[in-house]
Amino acid sequence: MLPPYLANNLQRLRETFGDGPFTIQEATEILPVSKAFLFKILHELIKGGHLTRLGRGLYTLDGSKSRLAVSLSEAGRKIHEALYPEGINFTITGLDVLLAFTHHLLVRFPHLVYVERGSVEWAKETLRREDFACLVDPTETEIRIGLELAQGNELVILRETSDFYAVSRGVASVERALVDLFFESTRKGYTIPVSEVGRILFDTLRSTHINYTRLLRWAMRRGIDAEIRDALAGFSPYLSIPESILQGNQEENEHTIAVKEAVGMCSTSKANI
Amino acid sequence: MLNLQSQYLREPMRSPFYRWAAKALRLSFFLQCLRQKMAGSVLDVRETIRRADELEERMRFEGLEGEDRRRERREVQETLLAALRDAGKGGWKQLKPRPPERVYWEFIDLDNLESLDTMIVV
Repeated sequence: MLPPYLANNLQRLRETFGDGPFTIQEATEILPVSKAFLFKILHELIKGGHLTRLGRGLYTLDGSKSRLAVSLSEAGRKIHEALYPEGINFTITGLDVLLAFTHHLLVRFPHLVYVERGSVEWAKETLRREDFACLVDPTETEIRIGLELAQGNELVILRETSDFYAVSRGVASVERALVDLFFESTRKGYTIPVSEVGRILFDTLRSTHINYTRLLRWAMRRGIDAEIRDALAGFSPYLSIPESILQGNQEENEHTIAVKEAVGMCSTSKANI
Repeated sequence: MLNLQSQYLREPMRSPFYRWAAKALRLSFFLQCLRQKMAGSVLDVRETIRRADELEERMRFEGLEGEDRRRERREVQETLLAALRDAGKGGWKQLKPRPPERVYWEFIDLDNLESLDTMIVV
């Protein structure tokens, strides 16, 4: 039996978020309590099994980790609020979807948005009205210069695509976001090192239910399924990855080695603790 | 157009290409009205342009938000694209990823202004 203050707050969270994921920020907006007391409430609810922590600052009332934890960052939400009502076909992907699984506290990072081929100017104009700085299909150097020049604005990387696989209402699934982030980091000069992508990949696989078939299918469409499979094989001693997923072509290269090394260090340090 | 924007225009005057195309088509529509008027028609050019602009304004659905606004805009865009295709105007496929305003100025002429009024219902 929950004490009344917990029962009331749990009820309010349930009414607002249902079984969906929510962030600390969103919970703050709903519950009229101090931040310290909010943390106490969340802690008590987790302890009592009423709440599940999906990642850093990300919770769900679902009671299991079986749901996909897709919760956008604050800037990601603003991008979504700008593009979605316009009628543009797009997907927000990469770190905006995976922020709860990052190791380093990222203060600022380029937001990754794929838009329908031919709509990039439309998206760019819409985002500029909301004070976002946009780069269309930039190279690594352009991303770095863009981050330097757009100090006061959030930077959005726009790329054109005609493939909206694993996208729901303009937001990429966790699986797609993982593959996109790996691809951007290894091929397009995205400013997050591949080792950090490896840690994000590992943490995501560990803390939420992943549809491996979807993950590999999207990786295949992007031509990196052999690399992803190799990285998964590296994770397999620590995670229960289905055997059938690991069967198939595996390609070890500098990227997958970096991913596996990052996780190896991570697992060693955890074992030492 | 890229050179014009980068060398002759400052920020508030700059527009994406599709908006320049829409401006050019609006001008073309205006010329169509003038030509009709000079041919002896009783057409009120100012009123016609005002109505055309009002229709464009209407399809922005400024009063709506989120899912509702998206649905209405997508619906208008699809209706206009279908009308463009049925009218046998080329290039409708290229206009699929463009905003409804751009498709609208591609489609509009003096013959279909009335039908557009019923197509774009708020």
